[in-house]
Amino acid sequence: MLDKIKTILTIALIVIVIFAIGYSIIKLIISAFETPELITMDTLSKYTKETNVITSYSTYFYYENCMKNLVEACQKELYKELYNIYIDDYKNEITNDEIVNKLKAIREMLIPKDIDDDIKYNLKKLYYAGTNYLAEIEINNYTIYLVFAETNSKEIDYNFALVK
Amino acid sequence: MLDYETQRKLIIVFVLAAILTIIVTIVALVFIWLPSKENISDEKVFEVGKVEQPAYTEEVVVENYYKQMYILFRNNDLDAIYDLVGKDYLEYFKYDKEDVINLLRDKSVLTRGLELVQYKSFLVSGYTNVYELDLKVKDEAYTINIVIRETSPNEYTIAFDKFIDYGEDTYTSTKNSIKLEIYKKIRYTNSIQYDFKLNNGYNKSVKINSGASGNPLILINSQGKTRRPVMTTLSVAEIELSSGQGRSFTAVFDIEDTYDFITYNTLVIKNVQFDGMHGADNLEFTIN
Repeated sequence: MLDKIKTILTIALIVIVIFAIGYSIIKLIISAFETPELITMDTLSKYTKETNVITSYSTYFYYENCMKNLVEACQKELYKELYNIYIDDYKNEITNDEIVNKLKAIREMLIPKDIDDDIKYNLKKLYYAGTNYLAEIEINNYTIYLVFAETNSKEIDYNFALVK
Repeated sequence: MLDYETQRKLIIVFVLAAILTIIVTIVALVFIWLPSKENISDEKVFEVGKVEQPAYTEEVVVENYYKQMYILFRNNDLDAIYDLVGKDYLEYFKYDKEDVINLLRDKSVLTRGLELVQYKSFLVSGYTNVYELDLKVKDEAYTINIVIRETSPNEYTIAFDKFIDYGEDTYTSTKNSIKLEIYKKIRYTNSIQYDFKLNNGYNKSVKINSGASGNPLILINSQGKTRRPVMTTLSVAEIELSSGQGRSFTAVFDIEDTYDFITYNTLVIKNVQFDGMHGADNLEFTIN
């Protein structure tokens, strides 16, 4: 009788372990083929809900600093450096040339040439966007949306991408 | 052979020359190693993607709002000022744009430089922070009180003259067949006003403030702190409500020294005498 119970328990344990390993492997394979959902102007409303608004001042000030850093980099036309901090997932969709053009477009949008000295920008709202942050920025009467992401790199504090 | 006096003079000259040489050497070394102006500058080398976590202080936030108000009033930007004014403020005072402009003109604060005299900040509900700024026109005695209601960083509306908000959300609570219905709540930075109705659902008449032993209203917060009304239409006299009868009242409570608007959650009506029953009850209503 005791032997029977032992056998049943052993089989049950082996089945559970095999199931757990199999499930993990399948999940891993699926996640490897999954493309992360990128924020676009079409999906923006999903993220810009009042419940997603960041109310923490320390987070707000931090990403305000990121925005200032970004604007300064654009003013200095540091495209190569801007390319380095562009979020990889958003890079996958376009070629390098397009990225440079895109960054130039961001620069143009941030700092139109005729008002180089009088740029007015304001981090209007900051939202949670999954593991990233979505920033609504007002720049000289334009509104643009940027995605900010944290990095694991010691040399870089943040990544960004423009929502198009 | 030099005489003693000459030798002594030579030694003194030698010693002085040595001291001078040492001093000159030290000065030269200090001059050489002194950091240049560029090096001692606080300005850091700009790096793309590198930012610091700034220290958040309430003063920084207040300074930010003060600067925004300064610019709006100094530039006489009436459209932007009006756009910022809270809808409930306009609704409560029945103001339109012209009324707001006239109000600001009466206060003589437009086109003038403003100084921040003092501020107070506190939480009024949920995530809503209030920053009350007292601003004074430079070199004048005119002042303006601006109440900034912030729901998230840099997302705010403004109101004037200590007004925080106005709501017609109804809170209803029933105790021993007496129904309390708060149908208006007006909050100022120094007080809170409730407009409420008492309905007698008991099958006989009820006397409020039975025996007329002072004002029957008490507002209590979660820490047990009590407030008596500074003004109320529920007077010190005894009031009788027949079965099914309802009457409306107003009560204003001073909150200035605590600013903990959220925690005031209980309204007590003392000495309620139900016809046919012995003694009087104190009824506690939850109002939040």
